Amino acid sequence: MDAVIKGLVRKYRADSAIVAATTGLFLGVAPQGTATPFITLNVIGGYPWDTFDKENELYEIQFSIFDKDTSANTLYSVYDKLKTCFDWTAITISGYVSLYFKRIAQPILELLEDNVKQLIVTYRGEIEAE
Amino acid sequence: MIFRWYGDKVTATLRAYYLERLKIVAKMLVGRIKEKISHAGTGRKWPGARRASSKPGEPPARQTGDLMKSITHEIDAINLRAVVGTNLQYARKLELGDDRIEPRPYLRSTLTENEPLIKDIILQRVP
Repeated sequence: MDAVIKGLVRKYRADSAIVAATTGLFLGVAPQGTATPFITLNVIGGYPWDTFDKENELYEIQFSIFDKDTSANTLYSVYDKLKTCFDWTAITISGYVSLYFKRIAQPILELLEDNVKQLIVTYRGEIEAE
Repeated sequence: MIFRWYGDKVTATLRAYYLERLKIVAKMLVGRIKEKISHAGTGRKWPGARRASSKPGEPPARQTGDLMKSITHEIDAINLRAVVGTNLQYARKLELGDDRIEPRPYLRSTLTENEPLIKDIILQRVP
């Protein structure tokens, strides 16, 4: 799974639009005091399975976009850039072939303390051992 | 030659069949979720807490048993839909995380992990 995360981080860093629109992409939680908007990445599930001759792994990733803007405009602007960056993207993963990486379900908007808004975006991907 | 239309009977049989399958899936998921959150935590033991908490990314560890007891399901027989979950406020934060807490997925991950089994249950031979 580390290789998948590294591939996603590489993809983020190579996309100038989303890099410019956010203060960073963090694994787990962002350090306290990080300026908004920022994105966090978490692995939320998955399972390995075998085809006839290959080992596959299905996994799900949760991106959370955080922002403090009173309107949700910035949040959804970052969401659009996230979709452009990651929807059906080809991820380069050492030792594996990425079969697909697709967004699943509608984003979930959560209102947190201190006017912080969280937009939760879930993706599902599958990799196959080379 | 006489043609007879059994469409309504076939539809009713299929609906009843899939409703039963749906109930089995929902009950199975409730059980799997409870099983998932019944373990002891391997994370930090907070002052005053009786048990250790879960590590980020792992399902919530059992503390009081309230979350486990709250997991339930509802069946919408008209639309053939099942809802599995809990109405506890903090359960949502555990599942989704926030700007201070990493998610402890236990609902969506259980659904994902059991997809092959759900397909098997649903696709069993229609009588």
